[in-house]
Amino acid sequence: MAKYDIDVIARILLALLEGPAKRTSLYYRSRLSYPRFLQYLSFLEERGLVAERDGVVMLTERGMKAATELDRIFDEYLDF
Amino acid sequence: MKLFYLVFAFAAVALLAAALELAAQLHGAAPLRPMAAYIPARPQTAPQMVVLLNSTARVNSTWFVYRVYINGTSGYLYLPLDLRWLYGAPAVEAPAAGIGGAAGRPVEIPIAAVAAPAQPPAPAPRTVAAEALGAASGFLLALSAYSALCRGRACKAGRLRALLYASTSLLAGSAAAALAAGPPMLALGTPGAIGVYRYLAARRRLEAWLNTILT
Repeated sequence: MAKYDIDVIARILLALLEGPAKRTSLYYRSRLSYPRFLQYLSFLEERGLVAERDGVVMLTERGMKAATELDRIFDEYLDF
Repeated sequence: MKLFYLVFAFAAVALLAAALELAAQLHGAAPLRPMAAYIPARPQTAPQMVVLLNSTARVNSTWFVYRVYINGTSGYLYLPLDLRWLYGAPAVEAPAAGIGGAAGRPVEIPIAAVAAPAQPPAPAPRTVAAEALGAASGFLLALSAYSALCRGRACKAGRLRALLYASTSLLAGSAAAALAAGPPMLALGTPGAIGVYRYLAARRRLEAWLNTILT
C-alpha cells in the first residue's frame, strides 16, 4: 500500500484498544470498502501491530503500546 | 473537547451575527453597525424644473437655448428643438429678445422629473461575499456537528477533524460578519485560529509518530 490514511489507522487501532473484534465488526467500524479494509489489515499485520486468529483481530504487544500512545496523543490535543 | 465546544459556540454566534446583519441590511435597518459609521440616506425628491419659454434664444438653425430653474438655481438648457411647438405656442422667430429681459411675463412650463425605473438595486460585492462565506460557514458547522456526534475511542480521529471543521466554520463566519457589520467582528474568529493551529500541530505530531511506528 503506497499511501495510508492516518485517520483510518487510528480508527482501527483505537477500536482494537477497546478489545479484540471480529473482522466484520472491525470492517464496519473502519468505514472503508471491504477490499480497502483488507489492505489496511494486512498492512498493520505486516508491521506487527495486529494479529488475526480464528476470525478475531487483536492487538499485538507492539500494537497495544502504539494504540495506547495514539490514544494519549489524541487526548492531549482534544482535552485542551 | 473543551476547545471544540468553545469554537463551535463561537462559530454559531458569528454565523448568527452575520445572518442578523445581512437580514437587517435587506430590510433597511442596520442594528449592529456602529452609529458613527451609519449615515441615513436623504429622502429623494423630484427636482423642481421650470423652463421659461419666453427666454429662448436661437443659437443656430437647429439649437435653441432656454433659461431654466432647477430647484431654484438658474441655468441655461440647450435643446435641438423649439419647446413652443410642443405646448402649442406660436413659433416666433424673434428669439433675440429672449434671454435677459423679454417684454412681458415669461411663460413658465414646469417639467415633472421622470421617475427612475423601479428596479431593485444590485447587491454589493461585499454582501455577496458575506452571503457566500456565511453559507460555507453554516455547511462546515453542520459537518463538524455530524463528525463530533460519534462516541467512543475509535471516533477520536473524527472528533479532531470536527475541531478543524468548526474552526474553519468560525473563521468563515467571522469573516462574513466582518464584511456585513465591520472589521471588529474579525475578533470573533480568534478561537478558530487557535483551533486550526491545534489541529495542524496534532496532525504533524501524529504523522511523525505513525511514520516511526509503521516504517
